[in-house]
Formats: sequence, C-alpha cells, structure tokens
Amino acid sequence: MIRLAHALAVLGLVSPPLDGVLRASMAGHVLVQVPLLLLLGDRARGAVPARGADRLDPHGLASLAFAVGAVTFWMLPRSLDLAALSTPHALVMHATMLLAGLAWGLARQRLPFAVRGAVGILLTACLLAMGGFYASSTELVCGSYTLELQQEAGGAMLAAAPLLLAAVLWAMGRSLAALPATGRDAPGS
Amino acid sequence: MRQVRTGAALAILVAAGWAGGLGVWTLGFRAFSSYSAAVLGPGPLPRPAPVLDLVNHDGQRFSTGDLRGRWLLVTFMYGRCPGVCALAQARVARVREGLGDLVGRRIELLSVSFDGDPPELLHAMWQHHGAPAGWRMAVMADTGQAVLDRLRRFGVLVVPRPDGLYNHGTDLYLLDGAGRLIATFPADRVEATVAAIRATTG
Repeated sequence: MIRLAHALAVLGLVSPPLDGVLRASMAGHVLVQVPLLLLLGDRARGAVPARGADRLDPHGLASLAFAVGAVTFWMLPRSLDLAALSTPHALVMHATMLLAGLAWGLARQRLPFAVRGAVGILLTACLLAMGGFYASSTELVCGSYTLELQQEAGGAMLAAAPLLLAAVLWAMGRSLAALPATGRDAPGS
Repeated sequence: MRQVRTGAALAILVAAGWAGGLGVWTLGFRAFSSYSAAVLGPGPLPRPAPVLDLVNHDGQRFSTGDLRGRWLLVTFMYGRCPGVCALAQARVARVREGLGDLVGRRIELLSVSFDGDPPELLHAMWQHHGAPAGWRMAVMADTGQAVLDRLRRFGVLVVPRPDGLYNHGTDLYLLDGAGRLIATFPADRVEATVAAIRATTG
C-alpha cells in the first residue's frame, strides 16, 4: 500500500498538469519538484537489498558521489534550462533526481555522523549562495525564466536555507542523542 | 578489505564520471549558463562573426560588413522588451560615456533589434539616449527563424517565451576591424568593461 502511494506520488509529480505547473516557475522547479523527487527517491531505499549495497559500497562514498554529482549537474543554470524547455530532458532530470535521492538514502545509512552533517551544512551554504546570487542578479542567468521569476526563486532559496539548516541540525541532534546508547552513529538519520 | 577497495574504486569512478560529464557539458568548465554556452558554442574566441544585414534608425540598409576597419561594440535588444533591455541599454550609454572620444573615432556602438522593430521606434530610442554620435540603433533585416539562426551563429541566445516576448542575453560583443568577435562583456560591469575595451582597442 505504501509502495503504491509512493509510486503514485512520483507519477503525479512528473506528469501533467502538476509537472507543467512546477516547471513553469523556477521556484516551483528547484524548490518544490526537485526536493520532493529527492525525498521520494530517499524513501525508496528500502527496495535496495542491504547486502548488495554493503558489498558494493560499504561506506556509502560511491552513493554520495552519485547524489552530489547528479544534484550539481542539474542545478547548473544551463541544465535547468534544458529541463525547463524540453519534456524529454525533464524526464531524464526527474529520473536522475529520484536516483540521487535513492543514492543519498543508501549513503546516509553508511556514512559517519560527521560526514552526514558536513554534507547537510554544505548543502545549506550552497542554497544560501545560489539564493543570494539569483535574488540580486539583474542579468538573466537562466534562459527559460523571466528575471522576476529568477529573483523570486532566489528569495525563496534564501528563505528555505534556514529551514534546511534547522532540519540538518535536528537530524544531527538525533544522531548525537543516539550515540551514548549504541556507541555508534544512529543509522538513517 | 576487498569490499573497502571496491567501494573506494567505485566512488572514484562515479566522481570522475560526473566531473568528466560536467567538463564536457560546460565546455571545459567555462559555460555554466545557456548564455555563456551560446557565446562559446560556435567556437573559441577570436572567431569570425557572421555579417548582420540591418536597417538603421533612419531606415537605411547596411551591414556589419560595411563597418569593417573599425571596432564595433554590439548589443541585442527589442522594443517590446519589458525591462531588461532598457536597463542594458542604459548601461551601454554608461559604457559610451566611459569610452569618451574613442566612440565614433575608433569604436562604433550598435544596438541591434531582433524583433522587426520599425526604424521610427529605433529613432525614438536613439533620441531618448541623446541622439549620440557613434551609436546606431538598427533592426535585423532577417525575419522568422533566420533571425534566431543568425543570432545563434553570432553567439547570442534568444529564447521565445510563451507570452510572445523573448528572454535573451544582454552581453556586449566586441568585434575588431576584420569582423572577428574578440570578446564579450557582461552588461552589468560597466567600469570593468570600459577598462577592458580601452585595453583591447588600444
């Protein structure tokens, strides 16, 4: 039942009309659609056999590299334009984001607490930097959105960054709280 | 131990794959936006720029080929543009001020409309900037897809929007006397642009 709901959520997110509505604005594309796809990918990590993941990527580094690489690639203004202007490329982006979320889900079960925290803080810093850049730029950076939409997305990124930081700190706090009891990092937080 | 080695090798492979892909996609980590990719796409600078057939703000036909022998600073705009063009043209005016008597003597400024604007509108825009000597407003003589194709070969990205308007780059394109595109400058860095043009054109 949960898997069905999960699959329906993915389908709804990448199909018209919701896909069109989200991709029409930069904030909807970058701050709603992409994070939700990453989250849904992360939630699907249970579908990957733990033994296989442990054998191939015991410390989660390859999964982390995949997730970081995928997000970096698709957050480039040029890549965003590609996905915003072409539905086939948008589908590739959606698939990559789901896989990146899955990879992060697998990685964070294996990575040490400090690395997970560093990734979260780095992500927050990137969001702040991108937000500041887009909000203050008087030049079009993305060819598929207007200057107003670009600046609006920048403002939304700046507003979202403290929320992301709060979520990262909460997850780190949870991991820290679990340390004395187990003597190890809490998995999956 | 073997698992650790496999994991590390896989991580290096994945990271190298993304780095390589990013390098290719960004044309050697130089083009992160569609606009910079459009500039670099037709080839490395300097390169021959395609000749633009134009109609000036007085209704006379000419081409950038007629202006050979002088430096040419070209920008692209259109009359219905809701804000970006006015801002960019105001910066061109500041660049013109910064270049002083070089404009008209060694350098010609050319603001090119790609939207079929009538010469009367271009004339009004030219007068709005004080009817400056050495700065022409012109419209491309091409129509339809030919406009976008020529702009693409020039290194300019123009994206038609669903509302009938366009998103487009506002960079300044510097051509030498042989009609080669030498450099591009972002419109929002006026002082740096003036200094670079002075240094380049001697």
